[in-house]
Amino acid sequence: MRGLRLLLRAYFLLFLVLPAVAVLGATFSHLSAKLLTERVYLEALFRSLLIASLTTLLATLFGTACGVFVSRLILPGRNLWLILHTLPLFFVPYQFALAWSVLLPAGFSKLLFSPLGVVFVLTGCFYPLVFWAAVVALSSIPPEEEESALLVAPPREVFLRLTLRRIRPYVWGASLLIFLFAFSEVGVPTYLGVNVLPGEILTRFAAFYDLPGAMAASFPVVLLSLILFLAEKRVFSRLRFQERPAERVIVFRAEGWRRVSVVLFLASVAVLFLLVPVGVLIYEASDLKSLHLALSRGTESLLHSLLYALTAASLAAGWSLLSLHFLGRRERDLISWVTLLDFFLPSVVMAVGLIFLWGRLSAAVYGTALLLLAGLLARFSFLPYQGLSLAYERLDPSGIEAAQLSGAGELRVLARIVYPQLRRWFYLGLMLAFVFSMNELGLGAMLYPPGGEPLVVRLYTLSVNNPVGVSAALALLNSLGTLVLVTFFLRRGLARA
Amino acid sequence: MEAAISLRKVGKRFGAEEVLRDIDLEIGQGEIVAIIGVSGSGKTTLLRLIAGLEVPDAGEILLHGRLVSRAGEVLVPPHERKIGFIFQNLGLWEHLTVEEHLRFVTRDEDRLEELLRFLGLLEHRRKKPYQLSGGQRQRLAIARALAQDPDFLLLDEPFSNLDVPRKKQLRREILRIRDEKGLSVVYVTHDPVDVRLLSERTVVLHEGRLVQTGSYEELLRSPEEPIVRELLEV
Repeated sequence: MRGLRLLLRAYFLLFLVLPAVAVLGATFSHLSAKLLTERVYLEALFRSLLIASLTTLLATLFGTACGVFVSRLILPGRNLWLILHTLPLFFVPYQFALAWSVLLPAGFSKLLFSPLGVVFVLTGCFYPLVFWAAVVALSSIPPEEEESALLVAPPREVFLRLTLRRIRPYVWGASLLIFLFAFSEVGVPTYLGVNVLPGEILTRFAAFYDLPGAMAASFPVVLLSLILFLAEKRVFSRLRFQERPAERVIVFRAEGWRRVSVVLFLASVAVLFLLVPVGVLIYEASDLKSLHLALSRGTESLLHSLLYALTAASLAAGWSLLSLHFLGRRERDLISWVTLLDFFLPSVVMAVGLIFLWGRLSAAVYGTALLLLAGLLARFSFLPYQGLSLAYERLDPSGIEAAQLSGAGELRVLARIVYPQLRRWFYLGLMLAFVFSMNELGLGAMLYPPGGEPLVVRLYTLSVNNPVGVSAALALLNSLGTLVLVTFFLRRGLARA
Repeated sequence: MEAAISLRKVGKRFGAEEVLRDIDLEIGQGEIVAIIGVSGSGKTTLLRLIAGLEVPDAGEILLHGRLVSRAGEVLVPPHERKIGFIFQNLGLWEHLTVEEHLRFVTRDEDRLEELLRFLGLLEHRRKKPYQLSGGQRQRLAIARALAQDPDFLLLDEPFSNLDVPRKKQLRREILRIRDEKGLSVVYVTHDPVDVRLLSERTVVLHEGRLVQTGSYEELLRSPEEPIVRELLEV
């Protein structure tokens, strides 16, 4: 097992510690007061903060409201609502920007191609994160806690004074993530012609080949990411993940106009943020010529995307499982910190750091698919690791000890005792890492090897000077590829042992 | 004399399963009643029906002569029934301190202080549940249940998971509360020792039916069905 432990530590060092050190080192060593006080730069920074704040606020409101309604009210078609309010996560945000730009008449275009338009599109893409945070939090409150309160206070007061307070850390955790995602988003603002800070970094590197400038421009992004990282760590420590999902949850019956209003609200959010943009994409992609063009231009890129995303997700999930079982608690805690930090470093900044690092370490890696893979592993190892880690901590240690005492080898204990209990989480982590890798534009645009363009980048470049139908068809192809694999992972994860 | 709690022909189903049927029961003011039965006999459901946390499918429930639930309908919501309920897993609010628990229920600071003193929690008032010992957690659950000055105290398996000294202490506390506050106490158990040592009357439930009621000694002396002796013999 010593060799295996060494390998696990090598992965940790190479793909997680070094990138973080490189990003921090590159950014802080290229600080430039001149650049940081440039008007264009400061405006981009301000715009990024404004967009991130407004998106977070709106996504939190929509996500919490939808999550509470779907979890706590007896409504028709609960599973349908769950699906409708999850699906936006499986689309690349700028696909929706593309759809709205096609749909809106000229009079509204000015509004869409502005910071407010960016906020609108990003809100629709990110509110499912808060939605799920609320759903999970509400389903893990033991019903007795609320029933104890219902014996002394009416439901409305119980909800406001107790339930909301209980789900708050979960919602805040998701809101912080949304702030980060919105702040570091490149695709939507660039497509809608809004100059934001990550776009500025991308331009400095990709258009002017100015790596030092890109590193210097990353400083506030890194600083903000570090602050958010510490805040998220604090929020995480308050969550009571040791709770299992409650065996039953309290639900209320909404009658009359209340029921109609809630259903209308849920439907409006789904229509606005999912059904309309997807409908537009389907409509635009529906002629045979567009489909043919998209398939001929995009199939190879789709295969690249699937290859990168599947490799990264499988490696990250496999490494997470093995590390949790074979490494000690202190190492596991350290891994938890570092994976979270890497996840919080925006992709364009991570890409700049990796180019800086591997440009010096090994010329053999620079310019190959390995560099992109390294970027995906650095950013998304967090997803399977955290999920599996929470589930691993909840395992009954006596069950594992009994298996060890029975004389079984370490790998056998892992395969027969530990993994079957964690399988659901393993596939969930794998699925999340896969989806995020498939839709990752920043790393893809800056690190893809010559001839190995992922679909998300191909779509982005094609959308600028090609018929809308082709872009729409490519966008759907990307989402379809993602959904097929996600369905497969979910079926595997939920299948009976 | 009017009964504090009356159940008339009460029935409850969960899907196809009939959990309780035709339950007729009257409990007097200040009485301590044990409900005993095997797992799945409907004991907890009976308590939840009295508290208004479940809706009966048949029959009526009255508290002090006031109709509070009838078939398919909760007429008086749980928070207006003046019921203190101690759940089997206590249902403490893990994010609130001891005094915040009580403040959720009552705004009367004098009462809050009195309860903290009464249940020996004064020095733990700023602790959260996870910082308390098992016994202190149990006392916090009792304090919370008493904070609203209830007329009834319902306890769901209060003695399970307790060691012998703690069981003794809890029994003493329940008796003290009943004597000082005069409230009716209904508790669920499956242990005949808890029945013998605390209850004034015992209700035996089996497969959703009320099989027999009476004092512990009466039931043992003349059980109407073999299950009664089986459940009550130590």
